[in-house]
Amino acid sequence: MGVVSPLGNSVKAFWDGLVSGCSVAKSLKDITHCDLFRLLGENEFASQVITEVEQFEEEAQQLPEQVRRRDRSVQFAVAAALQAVCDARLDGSSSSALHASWGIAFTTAVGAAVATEEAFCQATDCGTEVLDPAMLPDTFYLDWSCHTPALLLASLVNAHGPCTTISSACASGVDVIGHAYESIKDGDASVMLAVASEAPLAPTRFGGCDVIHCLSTGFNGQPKLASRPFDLRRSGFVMGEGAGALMLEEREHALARGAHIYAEITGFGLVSNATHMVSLKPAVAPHLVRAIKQAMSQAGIETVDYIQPHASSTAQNDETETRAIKKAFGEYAYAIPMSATKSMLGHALATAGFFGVMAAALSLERGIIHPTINYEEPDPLCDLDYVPNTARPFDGKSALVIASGFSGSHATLVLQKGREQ
Amino acid sequence: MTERVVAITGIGTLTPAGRGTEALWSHLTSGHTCIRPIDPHVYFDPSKYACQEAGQVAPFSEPRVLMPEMMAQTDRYSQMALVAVLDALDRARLPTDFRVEDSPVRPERVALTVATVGAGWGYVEHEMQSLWTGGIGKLDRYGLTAGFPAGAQGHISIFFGVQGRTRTFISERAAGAHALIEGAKAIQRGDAEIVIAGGTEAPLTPLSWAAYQQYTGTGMHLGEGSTFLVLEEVEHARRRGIPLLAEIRGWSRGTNPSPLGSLEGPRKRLKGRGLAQAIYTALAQADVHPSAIDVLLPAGPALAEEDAAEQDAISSVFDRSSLPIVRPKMVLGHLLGAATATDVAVATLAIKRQTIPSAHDTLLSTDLRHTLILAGGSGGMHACLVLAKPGMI
Repeated sequence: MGVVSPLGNSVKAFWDGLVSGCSVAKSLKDITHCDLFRLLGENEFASQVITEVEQFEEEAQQLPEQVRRRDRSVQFAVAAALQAVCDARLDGSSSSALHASWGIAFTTAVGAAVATEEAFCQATDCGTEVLDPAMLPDTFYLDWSCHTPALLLASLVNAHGPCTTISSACASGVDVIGHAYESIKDGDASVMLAVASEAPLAPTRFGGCDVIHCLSTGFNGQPKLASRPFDLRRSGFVMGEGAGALMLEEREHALARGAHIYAEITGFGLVSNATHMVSLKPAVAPHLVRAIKQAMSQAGIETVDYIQPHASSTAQNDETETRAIKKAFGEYAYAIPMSATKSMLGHALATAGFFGVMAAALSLERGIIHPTINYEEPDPLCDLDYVPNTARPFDGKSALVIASGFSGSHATLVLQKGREQ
Repeated sequence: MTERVVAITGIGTLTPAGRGTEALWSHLTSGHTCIRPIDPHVYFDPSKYACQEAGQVAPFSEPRVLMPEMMAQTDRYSQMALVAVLDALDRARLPTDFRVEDSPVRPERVALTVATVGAGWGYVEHEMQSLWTGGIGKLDRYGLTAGFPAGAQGHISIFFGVQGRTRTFISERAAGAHALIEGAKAIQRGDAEIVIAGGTEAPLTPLSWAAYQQYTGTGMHLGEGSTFLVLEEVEHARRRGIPLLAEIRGWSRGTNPSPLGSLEGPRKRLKGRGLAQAIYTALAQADVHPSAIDVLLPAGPALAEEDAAEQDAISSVFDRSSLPIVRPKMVLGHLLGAATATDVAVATLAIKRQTIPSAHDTLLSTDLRHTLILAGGSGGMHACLVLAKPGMI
């Protein structure tokens, strides 16, 4: 497992931050990594809150030079992935026969937002001139192509199996793990390095979300309170960034080498609601129910002990998701605790669902579930157990993770406690 | 349980050769290239670019799907895809909305895979220009979803009522093969009865073109276009009496990782060994000997280093000089995310017509039973697909 996140750049920092329930959201004007917002001048974005990965420089220093030259999202991806490879302790057994069956599955929703917008500004004098190709950085292609992180990783870990990059908007983080899981189940690989990375904090991508009113506007003066899934005063999501990586390994392969097992993946669901590009109105709930049931039935279980919902803190998503969970589990829904990573981490698009899977796996392994923070005023339409504001002990054996995205995708994953732990 | 076999029952294609399979076939048999100087009135002034030619799609319209409101909220890469999907569904005699009551398949049993490399950069560049010159008020509410990689997937699934699995592959030039293989696997596993699978690419925008130029220089002709196929479980197709055009019998995906620095160039000559092994894997799945392959569609012409590696692999697997090789990319340009779906469309037509497309439109004296389609990409990625004439076990 590996992570680069606004709560910190190690699994320990990520988990400690989630359990302690501290928000790291901050004002857009305090952004440190992207000068484009300042260059754009006085901005009137309706949302003024973000989360940002900090103190990444130390981590970045350890990356190969060819990676350090790349966009932030590429560096995040490689840094998180190398942590995961190291954590899995597979590097000691680096025979070429083993790597023949290694694969890479990467995802991003928007790719290298910062490097591409910087290059655009440089080559067009901030949009005022016809683009001059000679003004682009000379390896710009590698930032522009969303597949570069996967290729760098295939080279770095010498993976000879499938090397794919997929994108399903904000459902991507769960989808990519499902894709990697199926690659192992179908016998296409015995080890899959699944990675999600996103660094979308550049004016055009941020603005693209801002103009459709899906970003938080209610707490611009108090950033730490802005991301508040399921709370009555929620007003949208807080855009964030980061990367997550998981080494998935065929179970017998892992047991044979005595590997530490965080959790087992036992079910995956993927559906499209075919309703609307960006709306998550209650009418889409039956499709989310279908996605939940697909994963549950594949796992062969009737209920789950814990849910990591999409919980984006938008009015529509949180209501629709609550409705779908009640429909899927009936009265029992009230007994299932669910907590939202986005209340602390913000919404890192493709990486968001990935963070949810990591948090669920850590909960199963460590017997704690983290809180949903900023939960102050209950919304009558959102009346489940959201683990408000304080972490609690957990002895459950299974967890469901949900991610929903623009373009109408819903992806779900069931994790169960590792049986040999 | 009997094995679920994957058939192709529909093809829709909009490429520099024109719209539809007849146009594609006749251009390939004429052998005349579709590569032309980039039209500055439609795209951009190419004079500052090293490569000023590309395969371009002639103006198109389609009132059944490209209504004014659809045009306003989509990029060209989605618009070409919507037309290709519409034609593929027509050809497979499927409804253009799976949600209708008399649809022969439930919308949840229909899946979609889309391949693209650059997605909707034309729209993104337009948004960047608007924001930087006109301020936030000039941003478009469709800007994000028109331009990002999952945009075409969203518009196709909403318009045609696809409610099963949907996924977009952006694995550079291997994306097309990845999307088709994922579609075939979804049918084989039982996740869907029908998969709309293909690719779409609109690389003729100033920033995209500059990016590609850095990588390909003048050594590789590119083009725009979209091809989608209807993949269908064989028994499902038989039950509704639709002719099978071809079957997808084998596939494989793999990587022959190149050294870290070689991604930035200068590129090194790659080895063909991984690809040769991958071809054997796909042939084994299809249960055929290399000698059973009647036509080969290679991944190239692409970059010289990749072509050389591919030639090594082909020579090592096929010890005969008479293997017919068809190269649609020579005529159309490399259609990037749409390339492999287009190659598979050509291979399917060859099986259907029992003819190898060439200047002489060679009608074979023997049965044309199996075709092999190769795909490749940066960093040593490779993939292959084996197509068979329907009903051969």
